[in-house]
Amino acid sequence: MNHEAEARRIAAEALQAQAPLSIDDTMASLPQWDSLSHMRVILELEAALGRQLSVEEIMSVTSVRSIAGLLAAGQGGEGSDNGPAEAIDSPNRDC
Amino acid sequence: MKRPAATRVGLGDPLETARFILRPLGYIEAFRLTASWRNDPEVLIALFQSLKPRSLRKWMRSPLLPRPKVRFAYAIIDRESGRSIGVHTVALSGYRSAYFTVAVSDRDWWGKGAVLETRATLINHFIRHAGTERFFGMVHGRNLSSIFNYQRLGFSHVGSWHRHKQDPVSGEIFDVVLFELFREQWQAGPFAEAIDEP
Repeated sequence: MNHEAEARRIAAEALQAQAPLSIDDTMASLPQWDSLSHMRVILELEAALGRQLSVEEIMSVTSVRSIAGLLAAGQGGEGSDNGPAEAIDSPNRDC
Repeated sequence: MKRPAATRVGLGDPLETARFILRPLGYIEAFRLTASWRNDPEVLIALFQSLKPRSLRKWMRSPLLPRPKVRFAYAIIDRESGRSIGVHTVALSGYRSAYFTVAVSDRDWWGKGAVLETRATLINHFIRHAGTERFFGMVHGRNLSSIFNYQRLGFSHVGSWHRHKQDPVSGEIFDVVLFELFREQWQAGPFAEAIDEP
């Protein structure tokens, strides 16, 4: 599974989404992305990576794309749809 | 520069959101409402980054309690049931700046946007009535709910203090995350209310 698909799966499970998620979905565009589901997103991402995220990485999780970026960076980028440069997604995207 | 007196009028008024009433609390009322939370581990970890229970004496200085002219406490009242589900405070600190403290004690309301909804209303209110131009926050690096709330409201992550504190009970050493939001940022975002300039 590539990183975008894995990111969509993690987000969909954490957010208990009924419809498939887009890579462009963000915490601002998804009403079900609330504080508790955000916790689930982070914990599922940490489970997938097998380690705890740093605070900077936690800050970067604001979209499905940012999850894919962290997966790519955390797993060496193999099969990534995003370069490592996209691993950190500015929180201001959701302003 | 002293704030214009007129802008401070209204700080003690009740506020309404779609689902809640924010009712201003006096010190004694706030103390009575919150005193039992000093033994609640989840409230303690969120407020103080420590599991150590607070004595009544220490709770008298809790950031959830109001202080004349500088810290304003509001009971978050569920409109439907009329029950208080938590307390949200706004403290004026620094140049035209303010920060928040919140505790939602009713677990049934966790993850339902109560903090987002009430904080957005408080930001609008303090911009309008206190001349506040900047809001800031400091959060435990693993307080994921609180981090979400700041990010969702458009606060910028302006820094992290690494290995900044240690919980005396658990021994955990943790990072602290710093957030900041300026009035102009807020007014360009989705939660801002139009403010009539004088």
